[in-house]
Amino acid sequence: MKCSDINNHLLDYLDNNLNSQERIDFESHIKNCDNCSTKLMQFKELHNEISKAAPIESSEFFKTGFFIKLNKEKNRSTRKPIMDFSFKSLLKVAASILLFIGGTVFGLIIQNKVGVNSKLTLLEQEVFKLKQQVHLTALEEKTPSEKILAIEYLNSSETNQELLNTFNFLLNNDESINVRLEAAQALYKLSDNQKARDILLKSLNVNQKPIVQIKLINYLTEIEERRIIEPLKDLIQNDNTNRMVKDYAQNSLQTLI
Amino acid sequence: MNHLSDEYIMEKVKSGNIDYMSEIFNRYNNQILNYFFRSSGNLEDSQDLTQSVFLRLLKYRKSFNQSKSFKSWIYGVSRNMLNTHYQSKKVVTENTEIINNLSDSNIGDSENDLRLYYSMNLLSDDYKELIILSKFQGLKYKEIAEIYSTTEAAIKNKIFRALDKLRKIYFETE
Repeated sequence: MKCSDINNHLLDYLDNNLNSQERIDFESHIKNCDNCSTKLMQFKELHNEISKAAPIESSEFFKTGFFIKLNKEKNRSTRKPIMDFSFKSLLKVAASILLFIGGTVFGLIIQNKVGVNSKLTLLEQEVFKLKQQVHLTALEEKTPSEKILAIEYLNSSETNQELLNTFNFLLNNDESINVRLEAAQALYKLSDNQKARDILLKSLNVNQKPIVQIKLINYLTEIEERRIIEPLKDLIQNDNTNRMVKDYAQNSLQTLI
Repeated sequence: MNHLSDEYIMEKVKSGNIDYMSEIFNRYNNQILNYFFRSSGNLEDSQDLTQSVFLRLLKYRKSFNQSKSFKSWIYGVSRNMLNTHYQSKKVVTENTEIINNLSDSNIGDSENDLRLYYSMNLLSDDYKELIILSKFQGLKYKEIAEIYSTTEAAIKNKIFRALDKLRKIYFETE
């Protein structure tokens, strides 16, 4: 098999549709050809990513909305009086759906309160204690979701240097992208404060995670922080910059200039 | 009702049993919603379009042809609806919009999702659509070929080229 044949057989190979001889030929070429072997690996990785992409769920309200329209359509075409059997049964269906939703929501609220309650009380106590002084060490031991909760609580307390330092640290160093994004958002909300803006700006050069860099660019552009212009230009010219980040940077630059 | 084929149920609807349409809806609404959302990036539009598809199938139920697979029919209708919608409205989800949709929903693997959708968005509409139908929506080559009124071999070829292009963009080797 040659490289051009690989292209023709690749999909079949991945779908397990080659006969045993074709498979043998395919695999032996792959073994001896770096290009094709890389290509195959990339195809597999891509396939993997796609299968991980989570689908969105349609909501109950959306579905109920359709059933109501369906019934209207049905009435129109069959010309039956409105209060007929099927409309009543549709009402029953709608009622039970609403009951189900109500019950589920209620159940979730209860569950949430009970489950998170103990953690919340602990956090609330801690936040109260630390309200005047935020210590980074207090947050070090927590899980990402606890940190996110903590950030949301701390956000509403007075801005002070220690608070900003904490956010700064989390923004640039935390392992969890979601925590970093949360810290970025907290700083964005505090962007009336000059120091918060400084932190966001500095982080742009330091932060290695593309998705965080993009969010930073978003935030800084939104608050019209013009000091971002030069860093943006640098990012665009730097070959090592992630392609997505470059795109965003270019976009923002156009808005700002 | 689960053991009854889509085609059987649609025939029922065609012959006047409109209630059966709700079964069709139950089976397909989620995947059609995802088809629209993955193509357009706009949730609200996708919800409207999804409902329109089922109402349209209902309206034109007489034209349902048992010789064609139901799946190909519903996706064909969806596709047409999407194209019409695109013509009348500037839909393109700018790549700069994608990040807002993603990171707000706190998906665990946001980084890779972002990279994937970003790359998808850089493809031509044809290629993007083929990948959505075959890889995201899981349609078989035969079903897609039916939608496009072409041969299975031809569509397979095109899908390969689309994936190859996506691969190049995704791995930034272009």
